[in-house]
Amino acid sequence: MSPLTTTSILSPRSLRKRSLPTLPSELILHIFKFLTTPHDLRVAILVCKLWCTCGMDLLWSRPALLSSSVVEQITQTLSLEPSEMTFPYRDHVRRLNFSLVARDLVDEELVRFACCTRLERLILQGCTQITPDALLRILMAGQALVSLDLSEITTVGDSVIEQVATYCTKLHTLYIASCNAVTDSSISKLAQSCPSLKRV
Amino acid sequence: MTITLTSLDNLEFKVDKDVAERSVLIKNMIEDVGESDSPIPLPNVTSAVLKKVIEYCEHHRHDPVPVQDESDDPRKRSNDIEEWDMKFMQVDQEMLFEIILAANYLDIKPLLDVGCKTVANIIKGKTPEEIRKVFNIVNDFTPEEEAQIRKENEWAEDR
Repeated sequence: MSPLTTTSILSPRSLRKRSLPTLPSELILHIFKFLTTPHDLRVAILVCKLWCTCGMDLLWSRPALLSSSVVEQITQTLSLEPSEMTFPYRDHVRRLNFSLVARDLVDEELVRFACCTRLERLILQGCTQITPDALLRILMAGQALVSLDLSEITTVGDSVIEQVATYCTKLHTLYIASCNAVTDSSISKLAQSCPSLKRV
Repeated sequence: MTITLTSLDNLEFKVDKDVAERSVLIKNMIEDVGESDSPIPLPNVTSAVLKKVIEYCEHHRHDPVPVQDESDDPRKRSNDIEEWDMKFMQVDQEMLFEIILAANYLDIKPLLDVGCKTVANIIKGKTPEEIRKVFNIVNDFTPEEEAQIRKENEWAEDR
């Protein structure tokens, strides 16, 4: 079986019966915005190729990380070789909120999200098992990050903040409540490197 | 003041100005043309659909004009359709889609939202095959493609 490429999925054959008017993609997308659960979206993307292309970005832009098993399944998909993947899933991920799985999240799982280079918002509040090493891997891929929440990760200190300053120059919001090891010197470095910074 | 609207099949509909202006497209056209009695042509809308659209606009003529929603949340509710609108939307599939297309073309956001919510509610709770049956959509995935996408998106099964 030859590997599926993105183009094979993106070129749907128009076989719809003529009796029903075809909705353009932007209207299909508008309908999908009212599908409130990932489950509904997942059903919708399996209907036909056109619906699949429309729904894919919505499904993957802010995947609901409800449990550890969900995280595991997502990382399995993200870890596929690009040539094996039906869609460039990693490029659609823009918002990740780990707070529901915070207590269980470990470094090995977190770093598998480092391929999501278009990530804009990352919430790691309460992820107390995460170490600065894993954070570095994520931050290195975080050139598009605008909002970062590291609250309650007590291992976060000046070195992490300096890395944020180095890699995440588009940052405008940073939450570091309870990160008591952070001192003013790294914050001022952050202020210098991130011209959009509005809130710390 | 009454405005005359002409449908694709050349039927004329006289509506009050405030009703017609629920359509941002028509509102802008009226502003551009100024005081004029000439009918406004709507070549993209058939009379059957236009009749429904006008019915909607007349019922909602006193609603506050919708504000541009700039909120970040892409996931909106679909369980808040009012009763009149629900009855209004009990039409066959083809008319439902035509209303959505017309609301989009005429730029009547509340009607577009109601139409899309209605379709979303039809989709919810169904399997892909059931959805295809309802909307007459042919499955253009090969079994392998379908299986692969299913697998890659397994995570979304968790409710």
